[in-house]
Amino acid sequence: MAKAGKEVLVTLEALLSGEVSESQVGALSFEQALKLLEEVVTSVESGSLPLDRAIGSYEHGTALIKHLRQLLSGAEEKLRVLNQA
Amino acid sequence: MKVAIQAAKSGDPYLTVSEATRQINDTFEAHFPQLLFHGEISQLTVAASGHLYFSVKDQGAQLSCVMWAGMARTLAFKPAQGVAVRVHGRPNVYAQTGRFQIVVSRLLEDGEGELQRKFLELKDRLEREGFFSVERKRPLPFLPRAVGLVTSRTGAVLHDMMVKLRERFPSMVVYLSETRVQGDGAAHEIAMAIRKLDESNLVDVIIVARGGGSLEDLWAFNEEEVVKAVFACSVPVVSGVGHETDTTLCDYAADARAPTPTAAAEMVVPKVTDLLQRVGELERRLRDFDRWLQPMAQRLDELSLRLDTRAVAVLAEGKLRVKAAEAKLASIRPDKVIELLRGKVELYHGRLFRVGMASTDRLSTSVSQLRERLRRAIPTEKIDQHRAIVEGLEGRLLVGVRRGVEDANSQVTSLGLRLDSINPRKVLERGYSIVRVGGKVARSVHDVSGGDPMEISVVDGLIRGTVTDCVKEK
Repeated sequence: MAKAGKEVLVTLEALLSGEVSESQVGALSFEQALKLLEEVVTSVESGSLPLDRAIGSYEHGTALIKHLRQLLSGAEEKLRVLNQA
Repeated sequence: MKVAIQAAKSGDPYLTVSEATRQINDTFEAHFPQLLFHGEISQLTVAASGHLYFSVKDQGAQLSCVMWAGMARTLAFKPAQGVAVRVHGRPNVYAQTGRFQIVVSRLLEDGEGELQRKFLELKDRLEREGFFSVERKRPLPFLPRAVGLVTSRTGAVLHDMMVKLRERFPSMVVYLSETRVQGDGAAHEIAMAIRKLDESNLVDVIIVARGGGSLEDLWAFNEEEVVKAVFACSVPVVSGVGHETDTTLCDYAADARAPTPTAAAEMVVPKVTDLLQRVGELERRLRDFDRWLQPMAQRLDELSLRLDTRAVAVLAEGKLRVKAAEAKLASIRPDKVIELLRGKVELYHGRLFRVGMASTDRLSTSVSQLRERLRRAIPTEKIDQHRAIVEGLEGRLLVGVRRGVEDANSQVTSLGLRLDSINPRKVLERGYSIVRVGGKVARSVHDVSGGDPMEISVVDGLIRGTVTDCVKEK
């Protein structure tokens, strides 16, 4: 029940204005990070960003990709058993 | 009851298995020529031959039954799982397998099966109480941090689900909360196992699973306690109980229902390969600088095109105006006026000749008169006046044409300035630079290697240097 609200909400605007720290990006869920990355790529492709912001979004996009890959990588997990009371 | 066991004639007190079986069957036949009992049908199989094999059971016991095809065809109802029946038959040990069975001679339907009725009653009540409400169903997480399994530790179900989970997402963390899935107290254990996973806060989704079985086998998943535990769970629950055709109340209460445990495993985790592909595609797009610059280049092209069209139009208009002015000028040039007058003089001259023979006096008078008239006919003052007017017009025309050309020039200049403001050079002025190696623009660390001489274009010139090191950003 404590789980609700645990997820950090990060908007594209906050990300691009540099308000989001590296550790906050690292705490994003896969779904959120993927959505942000999609927004970053789309805004870059639209050409609507000024050049310095476009460069910044490139860096943020790269950080998101790194985080996403990390979430998908890892060794094969073993089954963990919760002990019966 | 006293049963006389006959020893073989040889005097050996041990019977052959066949003989023992025969004697048992003889005894059954003697004592139970016809056995009447009632219970619920369970584990029904219709053989290819048409024979029916099934069990009839109550809470405490069950009897294996067989009904031969000829008899089965005469049945007035369709025997099915959970149907309560009244049975007429005789007991028999099937010699080939030693299996004890009732050979059924008559089978009567006894209303709806007790369990079936209980199932429907419970379903109706829990439905009314809102445990199955569709609005309450939650979506499954896109990618859970970890998956919880509520099932038996033994058996194929756990193994099959683990195989499927690893196949789709090898690094997925899976927690098993083990429980019995059948028998007395199983429902309580299942409910506890769900709560334990939920309270651990370790998982984002829970699968409650069991392999296929009879209504009795799956009964624990119909119990109110399990339904309530599923309903109360704070993370989404997927029910994968039994085969496609089995339905339990746990299925109704869960956020999603899978036809089998393996299908449930498929529902809760995405395929890692699909996700990697999606991330890879986005990465490729992000790194595609040509795509970045495309919109800018397009804007530049558009402006340049507009500039060209505008300049051409202005020049063409200017030319037209000059031509028109020239034509106008030509039509009122003073020499034309003189030419016109000269023509008139010649005309009179001709007439003069024709009347020349009349008389010398008349002639000379006429000539002097004509001369006078001729002099008056050439209006020097008027010519001068006309010339002044023409010259004035000419001046005004020239001024007008010049102004038109100047307008065009200034429009061309202002468009040029706007074009300049989006010149890629401006990017250099803002501090970006272009690196060339061997005359080619270096876009990637792969384009250069250590020791390469390089030229760095900045806004006001060139910087030469040598590549010392390349670091590829991951």
